[in-house]
Amino acid sequence: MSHGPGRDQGPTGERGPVITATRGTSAVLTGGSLISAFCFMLALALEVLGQPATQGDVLDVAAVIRSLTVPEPWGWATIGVVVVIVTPAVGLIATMLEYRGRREAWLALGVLGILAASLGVALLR
Amino acid sequence: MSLVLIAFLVSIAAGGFGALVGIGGGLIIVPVLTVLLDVPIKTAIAASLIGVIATSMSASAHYLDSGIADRRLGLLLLLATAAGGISGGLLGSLIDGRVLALLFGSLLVFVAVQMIRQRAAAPAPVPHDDPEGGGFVSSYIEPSDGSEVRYRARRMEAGAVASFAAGNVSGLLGVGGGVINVPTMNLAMGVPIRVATTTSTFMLGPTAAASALLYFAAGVLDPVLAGPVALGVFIGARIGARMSSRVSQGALRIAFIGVALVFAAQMFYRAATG
Repeated sequence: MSHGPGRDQGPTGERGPVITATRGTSAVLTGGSLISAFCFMLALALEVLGQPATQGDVLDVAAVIRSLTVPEPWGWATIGVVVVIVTPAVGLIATMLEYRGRREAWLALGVLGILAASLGVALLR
Repeated sequence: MSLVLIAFLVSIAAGGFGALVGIGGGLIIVPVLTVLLDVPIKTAIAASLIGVIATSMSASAHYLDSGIADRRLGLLLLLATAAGGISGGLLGSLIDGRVLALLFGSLLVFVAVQMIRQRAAAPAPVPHDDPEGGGFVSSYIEPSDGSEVRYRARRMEAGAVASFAAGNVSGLLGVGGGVINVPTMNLAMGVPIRVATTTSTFMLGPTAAASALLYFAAGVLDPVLAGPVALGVFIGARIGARMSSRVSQGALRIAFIGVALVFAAQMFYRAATG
């Protein structure tokens, strides 16, 4: 039985407008799970097959692309990790679009702002 | 057999055991990688965070679709947990590994003691029309009988403070934070346990992502290790969830308490000897 986010109610208990088929966030999360799982499985398979376990700087995009095309476990695992880290942020963007004009959209924007701050701190260090 | 393959297999076991006991895989995988496979603790924490996000992503998609996870409450508390995740991640990448081992050992003891003391009776539900409750009213459909369960999420300030602490613990030690979030939402905020666990799972992904970014940029996140660990924890959690109804929860809890205390002792030993 699916009820989705339409069950949310306001501070006084009133029921908000029922929203149907708002599956954008879960679609993003499922997609991210599948893509990252594929990358990790490929990386693991390459590792088991004895492909060289070279390492590089994860922020060096050219090195990652080179490793992907060889193909090496490191490049595919790095892409999988990036997908895993980015997916929650994309999910929040999907939530903002689903809930446009409602409180949830502003909350999602606030959380996105915090993730952006984390990215800023990470890059500045 | 390579370290990566061993880590993958061990992560399946850790994820399965974590799901069977009802805790995240991180609480098991970090000491397993550190103590058994001699992985540096910061690398183990970073790998565990990737596993936390992957597990959260997969489970949240289902919980959001079913309407059980309270998205509004989750987003509200996420403001605090994600901020806590940044400070925890910053602290974790800065402080000495021996201090992290000491803190992790303490967390394991705390969780083991909580499990020993856990009351058998569920807390009384808070009436949704509690006039002093504050907060907001929401509802979900109970999957077991199809009935609508209404509740009032209250004490938002207390929830926000506890969520910030949970984010710190998650970022610092690579665990989900559900060990703080779930009891806070259930006991302090009056949220039904089913909503508390699913909402907490929804919150774990963005929280751990805020911390993982910091470990990633600091160069302590090893993708070749983190990938198989995430995949293993994810697969193990699926298997564990399917097996949970067929295994004695009491025996599992006792097993977990034993394992947690052994790992805690190992962590304290590492903290003392380096």
